[in-house]
Amino acid sequence: MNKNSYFARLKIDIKRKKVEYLLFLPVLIYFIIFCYVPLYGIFMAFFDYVPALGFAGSEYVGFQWFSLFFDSIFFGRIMYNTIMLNVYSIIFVFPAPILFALLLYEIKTKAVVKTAQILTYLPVFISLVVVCGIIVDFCKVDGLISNIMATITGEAAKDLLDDANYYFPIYLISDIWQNMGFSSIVFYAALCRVDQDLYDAAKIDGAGRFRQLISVTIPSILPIITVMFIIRMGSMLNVGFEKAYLLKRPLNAERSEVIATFVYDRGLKGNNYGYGTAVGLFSAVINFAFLWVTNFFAKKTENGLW
Amino acid sequence: MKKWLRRISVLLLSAAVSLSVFAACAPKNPGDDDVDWTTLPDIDRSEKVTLTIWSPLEQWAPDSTYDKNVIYQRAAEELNLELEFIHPPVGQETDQFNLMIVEKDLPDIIFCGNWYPGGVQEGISHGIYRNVNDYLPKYAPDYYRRLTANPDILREATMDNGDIGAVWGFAEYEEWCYSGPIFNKKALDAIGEDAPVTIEDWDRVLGKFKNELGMNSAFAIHPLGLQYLEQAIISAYGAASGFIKDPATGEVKYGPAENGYIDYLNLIRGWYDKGYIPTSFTTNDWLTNVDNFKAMQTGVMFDNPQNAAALIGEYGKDWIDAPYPVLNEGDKLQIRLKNWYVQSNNSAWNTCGVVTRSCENLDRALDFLNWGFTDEGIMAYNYGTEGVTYNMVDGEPVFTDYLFDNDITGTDIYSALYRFKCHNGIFVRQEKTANPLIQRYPENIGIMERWTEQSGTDALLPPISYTRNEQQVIDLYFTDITQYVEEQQMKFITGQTNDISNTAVATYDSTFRANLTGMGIDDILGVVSSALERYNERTSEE
Repeated sequence: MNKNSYFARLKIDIKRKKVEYLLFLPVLIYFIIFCYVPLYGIFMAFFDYVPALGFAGSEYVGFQWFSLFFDSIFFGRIMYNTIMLNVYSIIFVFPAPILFALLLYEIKTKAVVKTAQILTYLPVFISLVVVCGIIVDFCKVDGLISNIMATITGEAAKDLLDDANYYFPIYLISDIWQNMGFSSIVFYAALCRVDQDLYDAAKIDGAGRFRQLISVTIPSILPIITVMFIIRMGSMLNVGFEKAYLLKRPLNAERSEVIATFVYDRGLKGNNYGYGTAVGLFSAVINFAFLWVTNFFAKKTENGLW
Repeated sequence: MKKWLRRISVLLLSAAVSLSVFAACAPKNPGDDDVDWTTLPDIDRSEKVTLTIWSPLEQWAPDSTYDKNVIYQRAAEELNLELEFIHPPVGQETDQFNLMIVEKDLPDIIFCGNWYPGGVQEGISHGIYRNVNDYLPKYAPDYYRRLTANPDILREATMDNGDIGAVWGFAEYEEWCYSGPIFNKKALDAIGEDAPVTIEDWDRVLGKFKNELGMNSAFAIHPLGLQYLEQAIISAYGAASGFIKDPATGEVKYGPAENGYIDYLNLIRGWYDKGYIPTSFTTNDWLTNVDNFKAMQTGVMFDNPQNAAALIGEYGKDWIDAPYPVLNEGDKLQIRLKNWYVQSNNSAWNTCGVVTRSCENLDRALDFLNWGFTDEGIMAYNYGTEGVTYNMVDGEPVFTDYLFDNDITGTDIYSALYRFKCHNGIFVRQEKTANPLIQRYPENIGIMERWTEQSGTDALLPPISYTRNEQQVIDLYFTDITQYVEEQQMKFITGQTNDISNTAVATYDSTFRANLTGMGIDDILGVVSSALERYNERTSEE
């Protein structure tokens, strides 16, 4: 083996940093067992997979499942819902914790900050099933939100989840409510590390509070925002399965059906593992493309992930 | 850089290939179960054997696990067995079943063998189930005798290839139509009407319920959805929510694509619009319906008379039955709820006992399954323990008050049905006499007999079975179709499609049907027809 080859150098490195590599071992094992070993299951997307017979006994069908998915009358709306929900989510849900962290940062009274943080963190610890139960109850005909809506619009109260037009707002607002506080931790932590001298310098230069925000605070946390944004873009075709599934009904399926629920219905419930895997693989490939493109542009600003 | 990447990818690929080969361990050759039953050794019960049994719990009695069931304990004792029941969590039964098959973590016996995609026949050919056909005459003689005694039952239990692959629980006679319209008698008296007969009568009565009595939920829709008991109203229009066949020609049809279906939707839409059906009907639960009924907010619901008697009140005073509605008086319906002798569709639970390939004691497993077809087993499963839950009066079993006495049983009647006897399972079901609720409310017999006699069953499809390929066509295309139909009908009823006008109905109708055709309903009808043909060709004689 070449002395400068990768493995030769790795060997030397391991000898040198035994403890570090030992610490890294569990992580490596985790990724091998849970992320790489299951990869062979991707082959299912090209087979008419029968669990009892395994790959050897199952028929190879090529791209049949993919073309079936693209031909399905639900394909258009599933893609629309998945992508639009993510676009809206990036517009409305992604900036929410950043704004919240900036607001918190401006408050200088410790007690107020602590209370606000605890109150906004709490919802993230509520099980999603419970949260969806609350949403369903609030949106019922005699529910709180339905009636507030009815008072505002002057129409008779109706079940908001039975109307597809309300589905996106319900989904996004409840998402903000549940996750905003917790997601703001990382931004708030970044803000606390901003050098106070920068602010003093800005003040001497005559910058007001807003000018300080624009010229000091935001540039300081921009790398964190970029990293979070790239990660977020990598799940462009992911919509949390549980929430969509728990809120889905025939009357709002027009907006609530997304790739994840479709995979579950056709793959696991419909016993068609090949079809389910094919749809899953398709969305994974698109996700990767988004991640790569975002990173490509982020690298131009020298904030890329790799 | 490039070099190590290539090496890693080769490594991963070879690992993946070896794993896939590993996963594909060869199933047992189905030919292994070709035996001559006359040469089989007798069952030896001297050694105690443990059998694991996978069986879902009944949704209305989730705390009555089968290890607490008196009758299963008795069967275990008599046959020198140890029974270990595996119950999937309530609500996740099908998911758990599929996972069990994928993981090949099989018990000895599965009570829902019919759930395998493609049915018992595919389960056997994939090497998951044992083919018990050749063992039945020896190890399950009572089952075999009773099954072969009636050619109609035998035909329902036989697979398309002519084998009997499972031990099915069945009824030896045709059971009654068990659900129908239940009217609020007090409300009917208040508006001075009798139970309505035609759709027109229904419309008038519901109108009076709404306008004179101010009911906010005059017509209560079952939470399982329109597809379920509202069959009753669709049938007046000669349509159904699923597959039916033409009574005259035997041609297979899809209910929602029939002319009558649109008329039916229009009727329900009108009722929704006039406020007979509450806007909250999409989220109603069953107990809310019962409460509304008692609070004079509901005038009619579709239910089982035993439930009505147990939960609502006295027959003739609080509630009364009505015939299934018809368009014109004297019309003969051809569609109704019907329990076949063998309940083999996927919604039937605990009716299909199969022995899996991990069972090491095939003879003892069949011996246990056979117990429900012995004279003793039939009495025990159906009626419980003599002298405790029932007594013999003039040669007929009569239930005591034991099951109804919460102080003794420590539970309600629904759970007691699964603890001191069995309501359904692998045995000869004698529902007409073995349901203590029917015995307690004998007037219900008349009600169910009337419903049964009112409708023929010529338009119903028998329990056909699909091959794996057919099942796949149905799963792939039909899932889309049912989802589409369900969404469209809900939108239509709640008026989200367009305004009520005749032209709207016409466009809805034409686009609806064009979409059904586009989604391949014709292919599916072909699949169902060929499955029906195979069913009709099944030999009923041995």
